[in-house]
Amino acid sequence: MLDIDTLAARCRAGDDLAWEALVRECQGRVFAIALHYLREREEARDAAQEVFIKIYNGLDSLQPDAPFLPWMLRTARNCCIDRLRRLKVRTPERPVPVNEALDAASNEPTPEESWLTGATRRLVHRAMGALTEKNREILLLHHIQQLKLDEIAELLGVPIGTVKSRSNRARIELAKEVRRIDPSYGVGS
Amino acid sequence: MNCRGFERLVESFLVGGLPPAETEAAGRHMRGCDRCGELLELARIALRPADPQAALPPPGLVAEVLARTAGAGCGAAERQLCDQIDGALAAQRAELVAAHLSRCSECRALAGALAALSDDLPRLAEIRPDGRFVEAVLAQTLPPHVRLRRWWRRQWPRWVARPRFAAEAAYVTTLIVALVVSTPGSPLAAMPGRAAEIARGVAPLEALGNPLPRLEAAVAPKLEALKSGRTTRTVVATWHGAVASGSRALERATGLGGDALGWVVQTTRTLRQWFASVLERAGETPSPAERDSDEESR
Repeated sequence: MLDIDTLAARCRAGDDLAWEALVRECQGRVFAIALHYLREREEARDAAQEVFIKIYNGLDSLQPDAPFLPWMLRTARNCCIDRLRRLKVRTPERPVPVNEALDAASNEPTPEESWLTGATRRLVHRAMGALTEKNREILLLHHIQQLKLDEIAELLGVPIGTVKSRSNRARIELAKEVRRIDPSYGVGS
Repeated sequence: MNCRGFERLVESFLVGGLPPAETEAAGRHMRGCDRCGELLELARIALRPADPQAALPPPGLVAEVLARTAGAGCGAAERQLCDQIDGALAAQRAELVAAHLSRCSECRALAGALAALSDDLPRLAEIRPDGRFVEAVLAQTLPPHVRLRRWWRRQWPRWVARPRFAAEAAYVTTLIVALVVSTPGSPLAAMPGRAAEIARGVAPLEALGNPLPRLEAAVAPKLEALKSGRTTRTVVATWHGAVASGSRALERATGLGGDALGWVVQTTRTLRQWFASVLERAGETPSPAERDSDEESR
C-alpha cells in the first residue's frame, strides 16, 4: 500500500483511484478526530465528510514537499471547531451526553458508545468526555494522533512549554477520571 | 577546646575514638561546661544500642510531620508522574518519585492508570465509521462521469443477479424495438416489412441495408446541442461504451460470417464507429482503450 504522502501527491495530479485509497486510509483518523470534538456519532460522520470535501478542494494549496498528515489533522480540527461553534449557536449548551452516562455509575456502553469496540476504548472515550475542551484537544492531538509538540504549538498558537504542561495536566486529569469510573483501571501496569 | 570544638568531637569522644591529647582536652572542657556536659549525656542516650521495638517510629509520624511542614509529597509527585512514566526525569529525581510511589498507594494507582493510558490512547487514533462512509465522500468529491461509471459498475451486477432480470430485459427490448420501428416517421419504420420479405424469401438479406445513415440523418440536428450539453455527451459516451463492448464481445464470440449474425456484428461495429464519430464531433474524446479498439476494427 502506498504511503499517504504519495497518495496525496497522486491526488493532486488528479488520480481518482488515489483519492479513493486516501479516503479509505484516512477515514478512521478523520472520523476519530470528529468524534472526539463533537462527541456524537452522526454529527461526527457529517463533519468527517465535510473534512474530506475540504481536503479534496484544498489539495492544490498543500505544498508539494509538505507532509500530508499534519495538514489533514489541522484541516480536520479547524473544520470540527467551526462545526462545534455552529452547533453551539444553533442549540443551547447542554451537558455532554457522556456525563449523563457517568452519573448512572455504570460501565455499560451508552447507545452512542456501543459501536466502539472494546471495553477499554469505551472507558477511555467516556472519561475523555468529562474533560474540558482544551484538555481533550491536547490529548487528541498529542497522545492520540501523535502530533509533535512543536506542531501542536504551531497549530494552537501557544508556546511549546504551555503545550507540554497542558498535556501533562490533561493526562493526569484523564487518569483520575478513568479511575473514578473504573477503580481497577491500570492496576498491575 | 571551646564548645564548638567539643560538639564536633562528641561522638568520637563517646566511642573512644580520639587521640589521648584531644580526649584529655575534651574531658577538661566538659567538666567546666554544663551545656557540653548535658550534650554528652544526650549523645550517650542517642547512641545506646536501642530496644528494637522502641526504635520503630510511631505510625503516622511522617504524615504528621509533613502535614505540619511541606505538606504531603503527592502534589509534587503528581506533577512529575507523566515525566516519570515517559522516562523523562533525571535519575535522582526519578528515584525520589519512585520512593514516593512505593509508599503512596493513591499515587501508585494513578501512575498505573497513566501507564495504561500511554498504551490505550493511541488505539483511539482510528475509529472506523460505517461501511458507506467512503462511498458518501466519493459521491461528493469525484467528477460526475466518474461517479456515474462507479455507480454503473456497482449497480449492474446487482441488476443482473436478480431472477426477474431476463424478463425485464426482454420487456424493455421489446418496448424499444416496438418504439423504434413503429413510431411514425422513424428511420427504421420500414425494417419489419423488409425483414418479413427476407424471411419469406422474397428479398435477399442485403435488402436490410445499413440503417445507420438514416439514423444519423435523424440525429444530426441534435448534434449542435451536444456540443454544449455535458450530460447529453455523457449519455452518448455511455452508449458508445456499451455498444463498443457489446460489439467486441459479439466479434469474439462469432467471427464475421456471411449470415444474419454476421450482419448484426457488422451493424454493431458500424454503430460503434458512428457513436465514436458523434463524440468526436461533439468535442468529446472516447477513452483511449475504446479509441484503440475502434482503430483496430477499422
